[in-house]
Amino acid sequence: MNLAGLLVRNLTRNRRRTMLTLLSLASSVFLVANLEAALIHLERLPRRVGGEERLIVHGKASLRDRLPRSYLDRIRNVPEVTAAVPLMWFGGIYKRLAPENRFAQYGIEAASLRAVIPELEPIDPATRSAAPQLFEEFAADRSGALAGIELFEKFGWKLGDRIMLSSILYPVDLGFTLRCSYDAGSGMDSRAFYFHWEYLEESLGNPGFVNGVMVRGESPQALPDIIDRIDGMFANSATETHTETETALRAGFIQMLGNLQFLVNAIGTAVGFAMLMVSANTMAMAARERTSEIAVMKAIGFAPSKLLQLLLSEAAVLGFLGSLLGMLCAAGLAPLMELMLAHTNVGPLFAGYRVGAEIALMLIPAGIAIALLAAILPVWNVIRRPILTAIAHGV
Amino acid sequence: MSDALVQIRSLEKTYTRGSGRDAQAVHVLQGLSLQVHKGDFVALMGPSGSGKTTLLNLIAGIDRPTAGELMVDGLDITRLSESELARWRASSVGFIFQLYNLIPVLTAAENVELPLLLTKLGKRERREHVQTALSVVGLADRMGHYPRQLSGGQEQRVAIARAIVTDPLLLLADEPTGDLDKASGEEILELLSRLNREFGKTILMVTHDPHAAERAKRLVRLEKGVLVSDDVKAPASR
Repeated sequence: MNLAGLLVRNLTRNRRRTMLTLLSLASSVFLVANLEAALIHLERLPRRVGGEERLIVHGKASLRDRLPRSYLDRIRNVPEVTAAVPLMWFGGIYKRLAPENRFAQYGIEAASLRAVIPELEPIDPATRSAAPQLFEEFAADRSGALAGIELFEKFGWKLGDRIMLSSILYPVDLGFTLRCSYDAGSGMDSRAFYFHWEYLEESLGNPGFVNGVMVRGESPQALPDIIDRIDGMFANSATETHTETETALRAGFIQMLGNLQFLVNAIGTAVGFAMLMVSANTMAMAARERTSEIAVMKAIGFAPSKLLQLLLSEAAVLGFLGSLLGMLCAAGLAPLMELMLAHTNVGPLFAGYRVGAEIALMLIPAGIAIALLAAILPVWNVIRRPILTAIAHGV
Repeated sequence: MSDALVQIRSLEKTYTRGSGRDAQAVHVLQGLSLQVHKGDFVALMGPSGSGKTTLLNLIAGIDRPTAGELMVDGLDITRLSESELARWRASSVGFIFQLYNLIPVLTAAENVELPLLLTKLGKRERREHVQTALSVVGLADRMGHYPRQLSGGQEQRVAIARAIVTDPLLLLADEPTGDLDKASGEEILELLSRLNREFGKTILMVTHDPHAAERAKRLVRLEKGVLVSDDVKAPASR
């Protein structure tokens, strides 16, 4: 036996309590890891999908404002804008109104879509191989649709299938023929449904508006100037615009749910505090139970510093194992979380959701620190007790 | 210069009972002087509250005197810091408690090995020391047993093995048979006698039991913190 062996013996002396403490630490770390990972994921999402070079132009008052169609051509002529594609929200119900049937639908212009979103790769959903000719077929069919590969897989669609969508925004039901699929690659939403905006325009009697315009700039550095130019161009008009990056737009969506970052940090702090209290209670119980043993070890010749080192090492090991377990669960279950979220409104935002190593690098030391913090006071209280009083404690 | 292993002069120990205006000084030891020589086997007797356990604790360095001189093997242990005292206890004192105080999650061998973790001995040497100590107390076949698997007498023998494993200068025993039945108590007393007789161990033993005190070579009586008698017994009476 050595001191490490002694540490293991002490940790396993009350297996049930050790397991419960570990699970309590692990579940706290699991929760905080997922909250932090979700925040990081949302922050990085636009960067992963090339969004740093893209802007969204929409009505200043709200996303549901309608912009005159003429804005599209004027935006295309703004210096440093390389491409722009109109966007119309459709809000279509597929089959029946149910969370599992929800997916985003956008009326777009096929000719300019890939210029704005170049990472969108047309594929044949049956073989998953590149199929630029299918995109041409989609472009040529007025009622054609381009759907993400995940939608094909989820609903068992095939090319040529007819899809009916009933809009909740407009009084129309539209039928679409699936002509092409796309795979946006890792980390991007492959669950969107694109169709020709002219098709919707015609069905609505050509009202001549769009909900937004997605713009690609020459470079990320050019975006601030483009924003100023576009919003300046429509300032003081009947329909003023608000141009923002995809990051800002997503952040805006998230802010609709409240201040998520504040919420996550508040929950993280509360969980950390609860973890501290639970650990402190366990450590205090464990230390109290061993008061006379610790006194005997002092009597044998163990210096207080040695005992402090030994007992804090136990706490650190407990903190490490609990955090590691929590992190492994969080990382292992991340694909499942993604799957569960896929059926919700925020599903597309969480495509490719993972709990990464950077979270582990943050939370495992935090778990150890919390365990040490929880242990230091009860351990010190026991160690500093006079040997005679402490031995009498066990009698 | 004296050749005493333990040299005590005018030792005082005062506790404060209560606090504030109700605080009361309790003089547990009052000007006590005593010498213990190498190879002695001293029984400390006296009524409850006479200060015998306090004296033992002071000699063991697990309590500090209020005044006086306490030298062990020429070292004034009252001047040592906490960590120096801990190091000194590890190398110089083997303490035997009334309630054995073994660590329940460690086997007999591991309990005995505990003080050796503070030495520079390697794993194999520690193992050899543990085997020797457990053989001396007659428990070489119980090395892997946990305290809960041992009888009270066996637990106390493991505690004695733990006390002797570092080959300390002094063995201090506080009522070592106080929690044992008569037969087990006899075994422990015989073991202590043998450690003194065959291995030359210097032993100070606190006891209430006159029969246990019979085993010692010297009987020191305390009353109200004062040494009242110090009798060296004739060899035949041991």
